[in-house]
Amino acid sequence: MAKFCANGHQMEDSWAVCPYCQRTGFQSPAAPPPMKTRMEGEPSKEAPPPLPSPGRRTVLLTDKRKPPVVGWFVALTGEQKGEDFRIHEGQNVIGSAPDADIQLRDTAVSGKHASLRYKDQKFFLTDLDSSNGTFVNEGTTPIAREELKDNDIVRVGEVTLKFKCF
Amino acid sequence: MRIRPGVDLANLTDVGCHRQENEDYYCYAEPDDDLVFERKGRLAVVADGMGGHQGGKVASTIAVEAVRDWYFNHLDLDTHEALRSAFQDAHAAIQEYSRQNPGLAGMGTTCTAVAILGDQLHYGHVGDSRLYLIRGGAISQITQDHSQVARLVQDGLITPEEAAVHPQRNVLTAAMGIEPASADFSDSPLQLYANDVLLMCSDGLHGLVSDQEMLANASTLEPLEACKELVRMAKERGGFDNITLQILRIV
Repeated sequence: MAKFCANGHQMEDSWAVCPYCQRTGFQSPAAPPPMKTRMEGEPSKEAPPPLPSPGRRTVLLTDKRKPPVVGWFVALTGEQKGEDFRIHEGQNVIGSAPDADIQLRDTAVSGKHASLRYKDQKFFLTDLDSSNGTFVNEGTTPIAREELKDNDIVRVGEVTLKFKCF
Repeated sequence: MRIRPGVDLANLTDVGCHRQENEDYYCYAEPDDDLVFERKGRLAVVADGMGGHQGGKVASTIAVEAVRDWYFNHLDLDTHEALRSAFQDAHAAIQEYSRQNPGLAGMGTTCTAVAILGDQLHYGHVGDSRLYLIRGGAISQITQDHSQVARLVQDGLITPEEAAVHPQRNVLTAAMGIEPASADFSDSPLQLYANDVLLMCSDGLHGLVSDQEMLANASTLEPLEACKELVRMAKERGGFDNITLQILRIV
């Protein structure tokens, strides 16, 4: 008689504990909703047909689609030179944090360095209390909040970004 | 775990010959409650994680656990919808976990899941783990790899033989946990028949053992013997990656 652990891993008869089980400690927050009754179709019992090549549907796994793209940054210097970053409607955080919308791999860039917000057809760049400041075009004093226009240059840490919009 | 009549199941995982860690994870699940079983059936999942600092192992484990928990916790959803939303939940769970553990940022995983309700099969799939169906002495790859070389083959730029040895064959075009992710789901349920054999595996197996060899072993040997033999073959040929497979024979 085959032996399986609680996770359905096949075990040798002599094993007391499954050596393959892993735990991350992660708990899915799903709560079971109420049960509804539904009829199941009667399955057919005819001779096996040839091997199927079933249709498939591709589905985006991200539930919340990002808002529309309204502009771009292009890195002009640094390790990411040539890379482009999409700017979406609403708020776009620029920083070195893994969850920054525009993620820059530069040690002089703060985790959440600056934010670019698009609202009512205007772009506003706001410094988020970054350690090394945010600069626009030829400016030598760090900005607090500034409106960006097409082709403006933004400097954060060692990275220079060119701003493009429709 | 009690496995109800209807399938002969075997599965096996092996770290392979070169890796220190096994980043694959897998499960087979049947609910304890017979009423839940009647509505949800059985579920088998194989995931092959990637990412440094334990990330691969964590991502594949979360994927398997989240897909399973979501699937069996949502009795109101039909099989297709439950699988689809389970994949979305698992994708979000991996991202959430990496936000809370920045050392794991960038981790992701393949995920191939099969739900069998009565004699109907549904699947969900992202990445380059595979689901095969063996029927009447022939083998068919049901899932399509989400990899750069699979795309090149589809576009007619390289042959399947060239793809099998292509240096970029490990590069995925979609993975659970990494944006933007998409997954394939069976459009309509696939009708299963007695003696059908389902084989699910990570690329540690299908990268080194041909479809014809899987067919030869899985259709002649008992499921557990076939698992052992196929893993042995992959290791004999180098065992470059972790090897995981599950075989389900419909009885």
